[in-house]
Amino acid sequence: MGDGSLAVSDSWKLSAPHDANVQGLVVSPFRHLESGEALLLQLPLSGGGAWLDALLAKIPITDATGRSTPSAALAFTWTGLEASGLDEESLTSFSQPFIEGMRQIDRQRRLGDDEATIVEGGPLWSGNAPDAYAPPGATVAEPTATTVHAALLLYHTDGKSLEGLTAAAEEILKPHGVKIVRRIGLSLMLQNQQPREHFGFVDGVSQPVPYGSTIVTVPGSPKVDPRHGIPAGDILLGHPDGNGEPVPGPLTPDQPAAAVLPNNPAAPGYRDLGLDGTYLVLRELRQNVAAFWDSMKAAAAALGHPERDEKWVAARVIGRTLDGDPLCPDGTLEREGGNPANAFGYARDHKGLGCPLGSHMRRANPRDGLAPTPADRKGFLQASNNHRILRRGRKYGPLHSEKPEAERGLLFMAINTDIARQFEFIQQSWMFNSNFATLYDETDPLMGPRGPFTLPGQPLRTRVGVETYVRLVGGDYFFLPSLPALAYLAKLR
Amino acid sequence: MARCIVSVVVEVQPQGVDQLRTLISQLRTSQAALDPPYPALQAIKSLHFLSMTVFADARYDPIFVIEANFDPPAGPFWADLDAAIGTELREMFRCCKRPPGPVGLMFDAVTVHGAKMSLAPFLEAQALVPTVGYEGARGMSRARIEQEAALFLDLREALKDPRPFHEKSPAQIHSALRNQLLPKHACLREEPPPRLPLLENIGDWVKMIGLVLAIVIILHLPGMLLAWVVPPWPALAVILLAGAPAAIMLKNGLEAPHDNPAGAANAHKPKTRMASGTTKNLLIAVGVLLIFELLVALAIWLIGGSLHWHGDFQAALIIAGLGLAGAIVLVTLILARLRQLEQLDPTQEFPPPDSRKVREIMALEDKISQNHMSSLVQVKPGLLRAILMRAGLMGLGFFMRAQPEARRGFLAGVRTIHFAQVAPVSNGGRLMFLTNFDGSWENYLNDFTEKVHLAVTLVWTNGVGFPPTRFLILDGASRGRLFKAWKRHSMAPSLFWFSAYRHLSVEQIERDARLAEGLRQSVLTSKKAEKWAMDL
Repeated sequence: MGDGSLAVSDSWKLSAPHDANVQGLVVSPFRHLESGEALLLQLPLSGGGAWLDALLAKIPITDATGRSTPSAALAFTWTGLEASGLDEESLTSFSQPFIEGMRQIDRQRRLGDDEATIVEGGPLWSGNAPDAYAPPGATVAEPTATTVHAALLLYHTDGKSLEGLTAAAEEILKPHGVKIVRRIGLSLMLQNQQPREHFGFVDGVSQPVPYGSTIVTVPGSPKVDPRHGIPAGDILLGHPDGNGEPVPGPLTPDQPAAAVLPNNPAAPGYRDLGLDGTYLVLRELRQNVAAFWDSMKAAAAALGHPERDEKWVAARVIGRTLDGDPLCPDGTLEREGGNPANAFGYARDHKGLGCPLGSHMRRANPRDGLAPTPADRKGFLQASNNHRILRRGRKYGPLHSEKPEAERGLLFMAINTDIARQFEFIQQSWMFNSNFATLYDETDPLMGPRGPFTLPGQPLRTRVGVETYVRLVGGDYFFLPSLPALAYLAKLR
Repeated sequence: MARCIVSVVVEVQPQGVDQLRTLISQLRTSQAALDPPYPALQAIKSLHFLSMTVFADARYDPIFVIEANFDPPAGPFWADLDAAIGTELREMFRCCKRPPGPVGLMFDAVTVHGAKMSLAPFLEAQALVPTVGYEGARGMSRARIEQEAALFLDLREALKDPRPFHEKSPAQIHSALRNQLLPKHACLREEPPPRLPLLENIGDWVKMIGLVLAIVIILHLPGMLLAWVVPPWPALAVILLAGAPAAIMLKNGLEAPHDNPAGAANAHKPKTRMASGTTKNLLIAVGVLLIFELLVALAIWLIGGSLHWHGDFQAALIIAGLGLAGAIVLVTLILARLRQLEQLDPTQEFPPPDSRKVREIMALEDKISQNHMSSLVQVKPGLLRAILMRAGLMGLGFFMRAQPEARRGFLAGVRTIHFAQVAPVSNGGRLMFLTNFDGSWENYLNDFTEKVHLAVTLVWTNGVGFPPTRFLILDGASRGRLFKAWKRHSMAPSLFWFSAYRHLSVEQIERDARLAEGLRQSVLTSKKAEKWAMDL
């Protein structure tokens, strides 16, 4: 369905036949399509896959062969797969984080999702998976008011065309009893070709670059990106991991309906439900723009330094300037081909005198910055790359300057195959780790709750207070099936 | 001052295991609910960490393990523990089997109905000293950790308004803060006892060198004995004849297709830091070996002379040389057999997924920024494995106590371990691992697979089902997915766990120590002061 004329990503694409089986969202943020909408769906219980059959016939899910207009992606929560009629055995073959969901009480704690960082009365939505492995009498999470079974992500060139597309989707879904329980309008918020987020910063600069036998690198790009290379198995189930072994995913018993799915040589009697699929982490994060800049102003005032205004503090909170340039001890790093620098390590800024140790950029991906000695740097960079995610998030809500009172934020979307090692690890061991990089008693200054933020300095470090301005509205772990797996789910009755 | 790292291991009556679990959980919930939590244990001033775990295994009766990390001496600690939670412990031991041997009498005395006798002697007698005992913030007593943490908080308070310090030099900042804090913190007036006393330091090296020497000498014995009774040339012929098949076996072992299907992908795996300076190290090793052989010859000559041996120094040299040749053959033989075993060892690709157990373990994790982990694995059979496991563990344990970086708490650049212990239990049939660390389990295990995998592989390569290993240390734990699944499967929930300093990471303890150290000096040079101030 793609026009095939353009590479979907900057430096890599998938080899055949995977490119025709993988959802396009994996290889592309669909940057050629400015408008988007996330339709969060609730399926009728035990309604089977008829709705999906009807949907796929009219609105095909985009594959990874090339650009296409419009584009669409579809992902399921665990309860969504259950509602679609997937059998018990297949349902239990998914990974534990996906089965339990983001709201599971212990996962909640690990992710730092508590009242300090959740919207009032929230979270509002999740898959509401039962705490599948809880012993009788164990404390379990309160269900969210809204249960989400699937996320249909639609992208088009402009708002009007998108409206037509979403209306069409609605019309298809309605007769099948599929309810749209939440709609999140998505935009890239492009300024000079660079996507920005609501606080004003260029975002989505750094992405991992997969390698392996299933990846084709664009001529001129290295086989393995020296700074951002990750095995294809980190973003796609069934693809080779760092040891060259296929990453295990869910299976389904072999039966006529499952004939659309490939075999898995390691599991005779089963079909591979996971191959070319992956897990998608969705988090609707509300941003309070006024609170952010107020907090930055207050911190700047506390510093009492004429040249250190709120933009100066905000750049340290993020680790990059508003235009995306990473901070370093003598200003910002030089641009790479006109773009914000990304092929860098922290050898020159080991103490965080330029880019603070606890800045959002360093916490979200420490690169080689946690190495205690220069000799450790290479190993620590490789270790950090074990926890990368492909980010596909988009912004929602109008610009603060246009409509200050409206709700706005980021629909965080991350693609990974090992939720515990990748997304949860970043969140728990880096972002919300109070001891991160030898710091004490502080968390991510952007995502974390109100608390101190350290600005390393000479002779003395300074600690400023930062407020809470990003809150979780809702979210969960989704399964982003391959196109054959979607075809299989559509056949379930 | 080396801190005590021990565990008390007792078998449980199968019918009593549920009751035991309930008692432990009750102790946890009742202590955790208090404010501040765990007051009874907090009051034991020498205690760092304490955990209670029950390991169940289809092939054994359950075992009850109390892990304790505390400041010496041991006697008063056990008495304090008895005073703090003796009543509860006594109830727990009533669910356990009477240990065999003389300690059984003590067990009877503390568990009979209405027993009043102190638990301390029984606990001390039953305490198991692990083969590997590792401490992160080496030599830091609980009292010192707490004093310096309080000092850190006061320093932070003093710096809350940094403006008065803006115009000052680091040395002036140091002196101002010192003057401000000295009245409250008397500990700054006196030097604390050394973290690594001279005798302990020497002892660590003596143990490590002693073990290496013992191994080398044992390896020399066959060749030397042969040379003693057979003339040199025939002896050499015998050794070479024995060596040839061993060398061929080893060569085959090296060349055999690796069970890892994607050798190429290994190019992207973390490189270990051991690779750097290999040539230099090799030359040093050869030099040391030559000197060693000369010393061996000298010893043979001297000892032989006193035993009325008629050989001259040259003859002694020949015996030493044949000993070396024999040792090389023996090592080749051991490696060849090891490779053979390693290629045939079954690896457990997918340990029975017990999601309920994982959830139970997870429910007790990540309550604070430190965590606890306890695991128990079966040991692979055979004499060679038994010997290699013990030699490997002893070597690793001694190495980690002597190596400068490990002494500073770093293992391959990772500094998150407060305490760790590895001990064979069930007569060496199983290997137990207990540890207290900073951060999440996921983080700890990732450090294991990404950074510390050589040591971790050496510890567990003798465990049944461990990922495929080469030469005891290669691959193994670096196979992250296999290793993590295997490890998670071997774990038991930490039913009771106490940390005396819940908010302090090893890094923070060291940072506090550096700051305190600086404040103890009345004056710092400007360079030292600059470095010191970076920690503030």
